[in-house]
Amino acid sequence: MKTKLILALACASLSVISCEKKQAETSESVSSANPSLEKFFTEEAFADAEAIHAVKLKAKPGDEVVLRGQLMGRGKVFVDGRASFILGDPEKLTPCNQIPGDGCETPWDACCDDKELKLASTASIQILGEDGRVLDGGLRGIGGLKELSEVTLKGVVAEQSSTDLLLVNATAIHVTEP
Amino acid sequence: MLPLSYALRNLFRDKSRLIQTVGGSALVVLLIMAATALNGGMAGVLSASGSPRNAILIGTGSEESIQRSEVAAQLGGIAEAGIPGVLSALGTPAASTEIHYMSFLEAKDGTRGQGLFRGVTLRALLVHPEVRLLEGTFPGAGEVMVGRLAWRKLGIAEEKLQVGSVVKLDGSEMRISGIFAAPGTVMESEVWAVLGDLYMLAQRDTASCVVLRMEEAKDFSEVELFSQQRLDLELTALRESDYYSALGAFYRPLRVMTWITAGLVAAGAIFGGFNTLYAAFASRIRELATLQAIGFGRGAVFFSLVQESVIACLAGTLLASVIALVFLDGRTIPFSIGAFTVSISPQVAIAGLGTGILLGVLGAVPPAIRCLKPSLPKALRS
Repeated sequence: MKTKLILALACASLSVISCEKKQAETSESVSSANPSLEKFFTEEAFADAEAIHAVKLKAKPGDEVVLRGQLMGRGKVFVDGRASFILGDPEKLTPCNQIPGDGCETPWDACCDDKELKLASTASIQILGEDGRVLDGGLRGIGGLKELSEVTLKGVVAEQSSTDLLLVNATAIHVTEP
Repeated sequence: MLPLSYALRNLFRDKSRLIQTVGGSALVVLLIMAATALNGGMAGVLSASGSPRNAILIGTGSEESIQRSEVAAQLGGIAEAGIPGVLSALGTPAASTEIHYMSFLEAKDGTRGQGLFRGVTLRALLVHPEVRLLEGTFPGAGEVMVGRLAWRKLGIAEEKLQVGSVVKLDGSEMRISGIFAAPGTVMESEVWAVLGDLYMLAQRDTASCVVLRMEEAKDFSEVELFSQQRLDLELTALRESDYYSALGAFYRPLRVMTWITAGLVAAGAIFGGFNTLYAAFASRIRELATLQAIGFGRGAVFFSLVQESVIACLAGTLLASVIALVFLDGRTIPFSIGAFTVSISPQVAIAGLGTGILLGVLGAVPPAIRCLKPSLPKALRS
């Protein structure tokens, strides 16, 4: 009886510790988010969205573009504490979870695709503030956004963009499939 | 309570048993102290090697080894112009383009050893402020500067790596221009040459990385952002401290092995101690019963037996501490990416003392309980 009581108390204290840890993690992710970022997320998808590889062929700095894609193409698709992420082209890249038998822990890095293909099929998305700097606050979690989320977005091709690099200053983002 | 002198006198009743107990406990304590010092030394050198204010830009896919990384030679200029928050000293941005290259260094007498070579410019001193020239000068073309522990890592006699000595790196003769210190970091085991020389010797036209020293640790996000904004450069941004922490994780199995070895030996010694003390106490059952018969309580006798064992183990601890201080303290131990100095710090001494006390108590309790368990008449007749 006494042993059972001790075991029950031990389990209860462990579960309390575990809950506290989860609460701490959640509050940390919420605290790093910037509430003003939510206004960039819309409820409606953009019907005329194009694939990244197609946009890359024709887009020039200053052009307004509408893109569709999936958050993938790198081991780390978000920047901690900054409004930026990497968008990959699902028509060209294959996340590891779509490869049967692949147990990759970070399927969004599309590690089975070669470097050149990744370079041609990814775009860097960022949200700028009025001062022209990338806004503070991480984007993970806003509107359910996470690695491998499917999104459509509208934005303007940044000045730094080139034939190899598509950098888009997003003005509106819709998370199609969180 | 039985007087302390009773426990002390009993220790010397059987000298061979005393030597066995003291020797056994000394061995275990020494192993625990060595394991603590080795683990602490390796973890310490890896954690001190990376500054949270330093960010490293390396090639994507080379996060686990800078030596494998390749970045454009002109990345340093692009990064310092494009990343806000980079520290500036008298107008010079703290951005150091570096080549990390593993190769062999050969001394004049033909002895050679493998070590890490770092191709740098003077800006390396802005991002690694812990580096101090002890002797000589910063290297110029055809020269190298050696860390003060490099001789240990390379396995070359210290006197062969003095300022003015000539050594061979990949067949090219180079003069040692200086000796530097970078206390507690892996850099102390490295050999630094000018970046231009290493481009040539390593036969590469790309650098390994660009190290940036930021004004504040939180400015790292600017570097990470830059790596995402320039997908065309195929870069990954890492905190220098995170890079060395990851290396620390790589060496964890090695550290676990030292603990397992120490633990197994300790377990063996505890069982050996049980045997010794069972035999020692069992031969004194009647004496212990007599003590109870004349008025000493069972608790007092038990405490005296534990006291006896703890004193023997503490003598072993003292012996182990002396051996550790004489033979381990200050020793330089090489490992694959550098070398570290073993230090018998207060923490190591406390670990040793704790082990000694634990051994004394754990080793004595079961035999003491067994010897004091029989009833008094039965024990007196035994």
